[in-house]
Amino acid sequence: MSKTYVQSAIQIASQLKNRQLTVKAVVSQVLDRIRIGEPRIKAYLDIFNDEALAAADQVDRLYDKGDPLPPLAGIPIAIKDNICMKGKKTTCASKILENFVSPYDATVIKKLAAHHLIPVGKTNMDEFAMGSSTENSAFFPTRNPWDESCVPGGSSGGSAAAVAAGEAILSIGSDTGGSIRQPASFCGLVGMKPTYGRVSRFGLVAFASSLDQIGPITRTVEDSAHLLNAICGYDSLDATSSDQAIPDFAASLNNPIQGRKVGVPRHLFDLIENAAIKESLVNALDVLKSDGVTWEFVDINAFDYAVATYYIVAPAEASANLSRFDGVRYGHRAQGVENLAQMYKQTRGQGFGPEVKRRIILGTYALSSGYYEAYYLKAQKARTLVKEEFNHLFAKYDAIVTPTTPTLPFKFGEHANNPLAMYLSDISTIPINLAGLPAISVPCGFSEGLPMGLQLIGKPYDESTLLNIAHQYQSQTNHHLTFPSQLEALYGV
Amino acid sequence: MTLTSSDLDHVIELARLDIPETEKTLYLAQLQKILDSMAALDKLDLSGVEPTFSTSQSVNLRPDIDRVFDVTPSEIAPLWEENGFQVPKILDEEA
Repeated sequence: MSKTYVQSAIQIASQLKNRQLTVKAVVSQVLDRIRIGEPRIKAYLDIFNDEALAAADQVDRLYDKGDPLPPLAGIPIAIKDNICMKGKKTTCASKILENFVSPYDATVIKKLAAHHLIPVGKTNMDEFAMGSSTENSAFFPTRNPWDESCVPGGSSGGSAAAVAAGEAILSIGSDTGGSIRQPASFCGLVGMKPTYGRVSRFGLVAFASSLDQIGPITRTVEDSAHLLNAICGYDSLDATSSDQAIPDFAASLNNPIQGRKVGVPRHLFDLIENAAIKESLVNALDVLKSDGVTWEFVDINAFDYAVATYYIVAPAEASANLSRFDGVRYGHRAQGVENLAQMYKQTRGQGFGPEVKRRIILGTYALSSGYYEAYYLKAQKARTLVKEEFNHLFAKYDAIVTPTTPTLPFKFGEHANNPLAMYLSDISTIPINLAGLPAISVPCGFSEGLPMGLQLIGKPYDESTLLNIAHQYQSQTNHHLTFPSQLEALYGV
Repeated sequence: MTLTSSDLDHVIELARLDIPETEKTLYLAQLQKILDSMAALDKLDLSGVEPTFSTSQSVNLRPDIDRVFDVTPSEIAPLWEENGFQVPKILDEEA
């Protein structure tokens, strides 16, 4: 059988439809890749071997009957471990939820099931999605399939590494400040953060509720559009769910992009020290230009203060959201305590890792009496400026284009004692969450054998334009078709 | 703003965290560095700017109607007895 894991989901699905391939064969191949690759890559926290094979049989029967099926029916998908699946552990890569079994399905899981996608496992992440390297997992770090001495990015590092290694065809992540786009960039994949409210957050364990958004990690933009079609939609169980009309995101992929205009943030470009990243951006702009897109540098101030804003808003919301983990209703409970206060403190002290504690302390401080106005309120006002600045830009530009990350994938431990340096690695992606905008990261080249990503930022609810431009870019480039070849020796291929 | 060790103790208490003394020194230095970086916001003119607490364009509140939710607390609770979550005693305790 051909190597299905290097193909896009849509390519595989067409072979499933004409029965050149069976779902069982595709799922089996992915499970084989998981079995062989996981001791090294460590993308997964839980693997659903038997259930995935049983589900594959069911979808094969549907294909055999010849009934029309959704475009991604039978495609194996990996799920980030902060998304609830009934009867499965949802640990958020935290000791405090190590043995927590979800009593219900997240809305996004129900939607994937309705489209007959096949979950093959739950993926590793930074604890409670706090981090940019997956080093903050309480269980183990995930390795980058392109270079195992480097991080895969984070917080959805397991979801990205799984697809990059061929241990899944598609995956689902969550993005609070770049947690889909940055690992997608580090692993040579497409990562899409939809507009806030597009995908229901019901069943996503909350980190920072006004910033969190679920989205797809895929090999191609076309797959991203189809997966977005499957997971978007209004949900009465999420009060911030959008009731805006959902277009067919795949329908506009091939529209001409001639006449589109994009802006490139001048100061952010100047700040980036890595010459290869700058060059890859310029090369990408040349490709777009050959398609009739015009671009120019533009002054955008938001990138200068968005990280400071974010690291007040996100920890403040996290400190409130994570107060529910107290050892009373579910999760870890400290033993041998004398009273309730001691139980809370010891449960949380034992259950949370250092980065989560750091952010809870930071957030509690920003919300505490005497500091609320100096930090929290000020940050929320700064957030208004971020939002307004982007709104003004979209009156003139169809998209804003940046490198997804200011550096190449970094080595394990490189930022271990400097959390601020780690935070700054999200400088390109953070403003987008503050403003609630959609953005996509697309592979745009390699340097030192490591992938680089191009970020396209769009106006609210206009994912279609981003997908259209990104797909046209991918149609002219082959970065996304490159596979980490050194992995093949591991698999004996 | 300078974060003192008594500020840190106060916040740790508010956050109901148990943090060993040895780790507090490290946290104090790291948090101070992070707080210093927030001076970037002092350069902004925020006079007359309204805060943005959410970018959601609408808040969709569903009707408050009872529905069966297929969750049995006893199955996920760390300690469950006689239809309730069991916790250490709170009476006769300052906590």
